[in-house]
Amino acid sequence: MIHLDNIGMRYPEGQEILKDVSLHLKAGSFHYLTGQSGAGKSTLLRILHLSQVPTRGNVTVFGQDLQTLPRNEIPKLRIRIGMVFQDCRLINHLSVFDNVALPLRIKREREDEIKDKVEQLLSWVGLSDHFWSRPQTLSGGEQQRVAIARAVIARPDILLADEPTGNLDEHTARLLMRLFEDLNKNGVTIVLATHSEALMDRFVYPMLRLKSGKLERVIRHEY
Amino acid sequence: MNINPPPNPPKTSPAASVKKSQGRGIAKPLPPRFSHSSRWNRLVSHMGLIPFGARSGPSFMVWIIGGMVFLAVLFAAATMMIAGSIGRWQADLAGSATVQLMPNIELAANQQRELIDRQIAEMVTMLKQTKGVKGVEVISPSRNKELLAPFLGTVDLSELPMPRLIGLTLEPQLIKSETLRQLVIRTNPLARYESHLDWLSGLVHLAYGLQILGITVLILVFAIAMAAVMIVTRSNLNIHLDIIEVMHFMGAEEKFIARSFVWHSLTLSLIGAAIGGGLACLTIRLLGLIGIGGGRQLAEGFATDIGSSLHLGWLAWMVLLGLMILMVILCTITAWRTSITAIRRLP
Repeated sequence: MIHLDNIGMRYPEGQEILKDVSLHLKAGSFHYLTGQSGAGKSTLLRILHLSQVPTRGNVTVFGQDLQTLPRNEIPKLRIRIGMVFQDCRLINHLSVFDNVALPLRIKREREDEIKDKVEQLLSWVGLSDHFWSRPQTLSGGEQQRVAIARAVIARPDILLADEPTGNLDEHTARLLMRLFEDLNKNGVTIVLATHSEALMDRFVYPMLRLKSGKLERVIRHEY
Repeated sequence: MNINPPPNPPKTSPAASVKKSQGRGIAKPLPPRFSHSSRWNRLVSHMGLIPFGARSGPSFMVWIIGGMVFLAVLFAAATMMIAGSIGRWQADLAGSATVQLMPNIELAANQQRELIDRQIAEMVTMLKQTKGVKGVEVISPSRNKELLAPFLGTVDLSELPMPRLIGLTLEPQLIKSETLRQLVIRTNPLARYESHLDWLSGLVHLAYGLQILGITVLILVFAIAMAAVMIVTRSNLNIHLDIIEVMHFMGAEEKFIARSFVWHSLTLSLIGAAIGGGLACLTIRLLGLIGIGGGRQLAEGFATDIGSSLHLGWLAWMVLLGLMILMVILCTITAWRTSITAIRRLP
């Protein structure tokens, strides 16, 4: 699904943040991405999301080599990759409904289909009563659920989540993890960046750890 | 991958039970703009993605475009009026000339008359035989007196050595002014040939200069308007960068994002062009009315020209309308190019 082959990433006038990272994400897999602050988790997620180009190495997404891919083809691949940001990045002047509907409007789906899908998905994340609420009136957990709904409504093959539970209490974090598990059971490949040892202990999946720019694969005994 | 993820929520979801209890029926009905699918609805829903009114004032661009359209229309109208005047003057005067025959003041009065009558007869004969001379009219001394009356008053001119005039109507395509001058001088070396275009040429050059100036100003006005649109669009792109990034990361194509900015620019430039163009047209009409009123107080003939100069034909009005539309189109293209260029810089 996604192949990273010896990629390296260096920001201008900075150290190399990722060194010779190679990764193969199989369809339907679930991985945690962990590491200390500044280890390069967000950078790696951005590379996986095709919103950052590595300074060296090859990236192959859905069988297409990013180096040879025309720029206008990238949005078509990016729409197959959902992203949940730590700060949600919801559009505040739009309602919850319109925020979730946005990826479908980008895909130019019919409004009646959009309506059905958004209704179903908002019900699934437990926000049926908040269709017309503005994001800033929701709690952190509710905002994250809206962000997850928005990330998955266009039926992505991969879901990337950058510290989605970082600012949430344990109960809400568990609720979100169940949503991620449900999606994974439905075949969505998930990479979830987190610091939370408690979360990783409770929901056990393979772990990718970034240390000094290198990526280590950690297989947990329980998995 | 064989299995597709939701939108249909998994039945095992903890939130699914909530859905059953809360139900779809409880959800508030969707507002009309999303209730059914149509091109217009898609268009409208697309336009609401960027909150232009919220953090950036639209009035600045409306007034800039309005002001620029106002200036552009006025300058274009002035340029067309000048062009029209040049055309009219040339059409009126290209086909006319005058031959002057000076009396010999050393002769006695009756001898002077005899000589000049003979010279006139010779000149008229030559002119009538010349191809390209359509009409020959000998101006009588009494008519001569009438023509000079505004300048010299009603004094007795009989004692003054007044030249005799022959008015010519020409077909400029058949004879050149210089050829006719040579023929006139060959017939009578003391005769003077005056093409009416000669004295007009200085004025025509000045008018051409003004026309070039008008066109230059027009181009500058368009350039300033486009620069203003570029600045406003860039500023809007910076203000709403967070929303643009979100759409970009969700897989929105450059065209999809740019369309919001183009719609915004199109709407504002349409409003600006309507206001500026409307005011400019009103000004031209008022100037036309004042011009006719003032013109009547001037000397007869000249007033007609002033009055007609300040009036535009329907074709000229169409050109002015076209200018407003051109301004809107150029502003829209500028907004499109600026947005696409900025969005392409995103990772």
